[in-house]
Amino acid sequence: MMIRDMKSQTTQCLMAVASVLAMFAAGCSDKGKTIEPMVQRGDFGAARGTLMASLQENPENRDYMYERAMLAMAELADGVPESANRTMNEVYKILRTQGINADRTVAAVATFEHVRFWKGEPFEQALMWVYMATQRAMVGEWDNARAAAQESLFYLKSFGEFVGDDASSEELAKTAIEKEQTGASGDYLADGYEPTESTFVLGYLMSGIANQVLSREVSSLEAQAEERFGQVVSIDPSLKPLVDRFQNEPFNTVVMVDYGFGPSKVSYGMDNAFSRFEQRRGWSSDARTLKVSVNGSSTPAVLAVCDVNAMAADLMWNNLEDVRVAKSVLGTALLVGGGVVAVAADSNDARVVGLVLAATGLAMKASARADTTHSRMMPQRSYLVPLMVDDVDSTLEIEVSGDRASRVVLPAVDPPTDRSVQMLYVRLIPTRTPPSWTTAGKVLYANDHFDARIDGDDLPYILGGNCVRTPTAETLDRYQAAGNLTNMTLIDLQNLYRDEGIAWTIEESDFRAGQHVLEGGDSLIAPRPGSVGYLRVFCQPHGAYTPTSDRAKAFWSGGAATEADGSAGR
Amino acid sequence: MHHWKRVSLFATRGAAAVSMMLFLVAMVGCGPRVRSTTLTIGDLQEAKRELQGELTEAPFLMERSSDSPQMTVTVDRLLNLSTDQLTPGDRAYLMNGVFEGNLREAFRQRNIKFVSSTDRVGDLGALSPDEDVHAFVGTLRSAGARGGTEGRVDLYRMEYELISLRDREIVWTGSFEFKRYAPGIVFD
Repeated sequence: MMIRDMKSQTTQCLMAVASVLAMFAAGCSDKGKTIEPMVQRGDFGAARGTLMASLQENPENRDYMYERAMLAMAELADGVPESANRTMNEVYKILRTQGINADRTVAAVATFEHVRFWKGEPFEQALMWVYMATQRAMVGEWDNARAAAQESLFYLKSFGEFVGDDASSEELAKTAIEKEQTGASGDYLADGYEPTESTFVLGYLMSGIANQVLSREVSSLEAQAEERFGQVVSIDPSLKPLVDRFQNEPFNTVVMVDYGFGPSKVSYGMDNAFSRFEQRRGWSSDARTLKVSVNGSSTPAVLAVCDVNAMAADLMWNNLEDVRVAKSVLGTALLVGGGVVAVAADSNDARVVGLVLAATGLAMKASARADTTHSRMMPQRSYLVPLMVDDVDSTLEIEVSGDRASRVVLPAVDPPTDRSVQMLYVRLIPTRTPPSWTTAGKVLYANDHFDARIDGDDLPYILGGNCVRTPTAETLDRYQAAGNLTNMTLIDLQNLYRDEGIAWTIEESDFRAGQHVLEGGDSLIAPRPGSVGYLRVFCQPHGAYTPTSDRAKAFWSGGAATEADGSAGR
Repeated sequence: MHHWKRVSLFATRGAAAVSMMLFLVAMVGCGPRVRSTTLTIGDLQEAKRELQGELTEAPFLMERSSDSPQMTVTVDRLLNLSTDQLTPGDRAYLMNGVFEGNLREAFRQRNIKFVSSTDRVGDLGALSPDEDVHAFVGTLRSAGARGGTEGRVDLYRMEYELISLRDREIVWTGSFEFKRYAPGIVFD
């Protein structure tokens, strides 16, 4: 009886531990691992589809932020910044949740209305602000871009005096414990740092560019642009030639180019309680430049303006929340204390107390394991390049020096439609074996961003042609001028797309563009020229369309073409 | 035996305490939905009301009558120099929305034609070269933030100008401050 009762009590304790473990196991899904191979193939459409299919909806889960961060980056890489608008707005609400912080630093976690948000490592937050600035600039909102870039320049927490900015989180945790045990500090992680001005060159440069662009309308912003450019050179004098180009030479196009894979977050140390970022093999930091040409004319090579490996390795750019968790020795103390009580106690009361405490200790130890969820789409480095694109249908060629596999040929790039400045984002595919379409340089499908004639552009792709323009009166005119679909009205054409479940506006797509119809998706929203998405979708041949509606099937079989459009031919 | 019963009771309570702790921790995940700390329509309504009040009493308007030569006011742009992100909806609300209701009627009674940002291109195309066209431009700036027991409050300054496109003369300026209040305790 006594043994049975003890077993029962032990079982209860173990069940409690199991409950805790189950709770933690139900945490982050780390969808980044799933999309990483897609990114390596340059298949940002599939990455978008995977992320959109089941976005984390609980903002308390770290995946909430990271999945949106990765989705936004995939949307930019795919050349659909309008689609990224919704995602960026959701990211913005998280990043913008902040309190009054006298020293202008940021934390990885914010609490609002009793809900704890994960905002990301400081370096991830800074980068996301710049991606937001890029997205805003891509849709022509340079004022919003300016605001976002400015937000990336928050102060950093430096424990340099006692720990050193190149120290590990483990060393910081040990120092914190020492300081607190000796009474030198009540909460070292909260009061032991010095707020330090940001060294985020990419943020300063982006802020400078946005101010520079806006100064064409508001001359007073020129001074702010100069200040920002000055800060860039002050932090990294080697960037002076690049800054000079932004300040003194005409440009109508800014290209942000991302290269490689950023570092991975791994756990280490006792109970794997500590975490750090490690460079990925093959994507180490170096000083290689970026070469860009416009219609065959080379522009001066530029240095990278951001090294994510270096940021992630710097204690100032890492979160303190994980250090706090790791610092806590409560779990170990309880485990040891509980074990001692359980073994040594004379009374059964004490034994049970010990077991409960030990169970709690085990659970706490389990919870102390560092959370290594992170954005797996971050690049190793970023470049910013000013260009003058004068001609319609220009071709840009971009390549990182010494890495032929990084080369992309971007056709169909036009100058901006007004006298403003356009922003492009190019995510070079992080692979050593790039697909052939990255350098093919020839547009194979008629689309909304390309006016030149293409074989088969006189019939929609869904009816066997090579045109994926959105169904407008102008598009129908093109078909009918070629003698196709002559009996069809614009409404008929649009209804045909509706029957096939294909959307052609961002509003119809719930403000997130789906995968393109050429890739088996349900969207006609065209990636923008000057993006890797444009190359993948329009610069390689795709298989024939498979209709799903009776009407489209009839066209393919020839019946409806005769019935609704006596001259439609395929 | 009695002793064991007492221990069992205690053990049950101990396990219950652990379970309660777990339950409470788990319940955090079922908390209320997040409230945004970004600008909301409610914040902008205050700005709109203030501006409508100022414009209604603006000298350039009071000096006019239905017999005055026709004047056209076209919404030009809202430049966001604040630290917030403004959506196209926010911009339209702060610029076109100002001219809704009584103000539009006041314009009509004084022979002022209003052209919103969404239709101005077409309408301007129909204007005669000597028509008196004024551009309505706005600038939103951040004016600091403060905290307290009620949470974070961000301050903004809204500036408007009405500019004659004929001679670039600024015929009216208006500015005012408004605040965005984030209820609840927020901290980093």
